[in-house]
Formats: sequence, C-alpha cells, structure tokens
Amino acid sequence: MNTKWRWESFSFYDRSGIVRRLEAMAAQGWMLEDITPVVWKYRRCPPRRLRFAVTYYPKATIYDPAPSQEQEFFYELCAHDGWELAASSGEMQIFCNDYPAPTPIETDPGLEVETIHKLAWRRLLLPWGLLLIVSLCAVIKTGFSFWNEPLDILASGGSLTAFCAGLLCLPLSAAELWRYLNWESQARQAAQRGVFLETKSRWRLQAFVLLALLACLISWMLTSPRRSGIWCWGSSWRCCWPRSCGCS
Amino acid sequence: MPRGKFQTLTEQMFYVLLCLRTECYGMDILDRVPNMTGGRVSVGSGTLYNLLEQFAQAGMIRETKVEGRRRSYLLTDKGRAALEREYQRICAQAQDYRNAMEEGEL
Repeated sequence: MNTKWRWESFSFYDRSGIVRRLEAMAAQGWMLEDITPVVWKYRRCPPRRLRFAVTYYPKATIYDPAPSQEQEFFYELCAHDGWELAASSGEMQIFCNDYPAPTPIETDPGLEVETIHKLAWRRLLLPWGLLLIVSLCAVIKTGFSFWNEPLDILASGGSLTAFCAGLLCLPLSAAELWRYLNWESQARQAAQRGVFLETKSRWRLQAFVLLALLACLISWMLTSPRRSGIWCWGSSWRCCWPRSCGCS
Repeated sequence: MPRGKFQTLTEQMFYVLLCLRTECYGMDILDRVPNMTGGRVSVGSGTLYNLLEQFAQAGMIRETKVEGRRRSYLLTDKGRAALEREYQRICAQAQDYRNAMEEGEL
C-alpha cells in the first residue's frame, strides 16, 4: 500500500508536535501529502531525514482554489532557503527541507506568536469557547431537570446522552482554552528573550473524549425508543419522521 | 507607557530596512543580511515576508516592482527616519557603555 490515512489530532498552534510527527513519519518512509480537517494523507517514500516547519499564512483559507500571487511570493521566499511546501490547510502551511541545518522559516518569536494569536480567535478561542458554553448549558439544564424529575431524565436516552456529552466536552474545551492561553502568555514572555516556546501535544485526551462521545452517540441510537426519533428498527434500516412513523 | 510599534527596531528589522535603502528584491534580502553581518544575523523567509508586509502597511517601504513571483521594495522617507532614529539610539547606547566602562576604570 503506497498511501496511508491517519487521524491526527493536533491543536492548530501545536507546531512542535506536528513537526515531531512528520519527521518521525518521514524517517519511517511516509511523506505527508495532504491534510484534511480529520485525517492526513501520507504517501510511501524512501525513509529519509527531513526537516519540517509549520508556519501560518493568515490570508489563506481552505476555500482558496489556488494560492494567490502574494502567497506565491511567500512560497518563493521559502524556496530560496530550500523549504518546499509539503501540504497546507487554510492558514497552516507545512514545509519540508532536506538540508540538515536550514535557516528556519520563522526567526522572530514575537512575530510568530503575534501571527498565531491573530488566528487563534477563529481557529481556537471561538469554537472551543462556544463548545464550553453549550456543554455548560447542557450539564446545568440536565442537572436541574434531574433534580426536579429524576425518573424522566433517566428514562430519556436523549437527555442522558446530552448530559454525558456535556460532561465530556466541558473539561475538554476548558482544558484546550486554558492550555492555549497559558502557552500564549509564556510564549510572549519567551519571545521577549528571543526564544521560541515549544508546544506540548495532548492528542490522547482529545482522542479519548472523541471516542467517548462516539460511544455516547451510538448507545443513544441503539437505545432510542422505536417511535421517538428518526431511526426505526425493523427488518432493515429505514428512515422516517415521527409523524409519519407507522412502525409498531 | 507602551512603546509604539517600530519605535524600537529589532536587529532583523534594522537590517531589512538597511538593505532597502536601495531598491532590492525581497529574495536578495535573505542573502544580504547574513553577508552584511558576517553570518551573525539571518532572517527567516516567513519572518521576512511578515516584516515586509508590516513595513509596507506602516508606510516605511514601498513596493516598486512585481515580476511574477519576485517583488522589489524601497525605503520611504518614513522608513529612513525610523532607520536613522534607531541608529542614533544604538550610538547613544554605545556611548553610554563606553562612559560607564571608563568610570569603572577610574
């Protein structure tokens, strides 16, 4: 098999973790070819020692049909130092270089932190912030309902699923937000000393929560009463709306 | 009171502006800065791109030519003033150092 798809769960600013993974994959004979929001595609290549770099081009989006002229100028500058574009996803650009000690793409830590922070609002703070609020509301609402009518809540698969999902998403979103804000604060201080602050990957926590959420969803689908939702059991799967659901 | 942006220049900013005292392609700056400084200072391509953009937005440089993927820039009067200001600051700092070391010897 000459291609491999891997689920990679990196925070968008976790450039150290991404570089470590890609360099390890290249050493094993797998070269990054494409990035999607969920999975990354690798192609088989001779194992080699490559340097990778993750940088951010704020003007790019995932909807661009092709790089703009300005972006091409940026790529040309990178190519001058031997950096070739390996893959990109929106603002995130991943380059590789086979020179053992190339000039880094980013040499000013202050500028890098500034660029990352500008993107953090729409890539991290807003989505995780919204998730935090929604999961907090789900937990509080279900909690109050359970206090008043515990049997109704226990009998409702949807309510239990919402409560469990809220309980899982609440610490995850809080942890992601805290981790980023903590890193950003330390990175700014390190930048004043001219030092780049590495990031620490926490993909296991995300993976665990996502699997747990999937388990909640599947258990809700399997335990939903036959006439309460969209899915109806019968001799085969069929989809029907509650109003028109005629299955017994 | 916080300093305004570009009121104090970093080494990389200083040398990029110094390269642009004459019209220069962006790519050539990547080679000129290490040559000028004997390898002591180097500017990454991503950092250079961001600096050129910020300098252009601040009116300190202007784009003079676009030839496909190559772009050239030149310092403006505002850029020259910022460079001169930074040079005076560095000179004053060097003089303070000499004065302090002479006092120490006396």
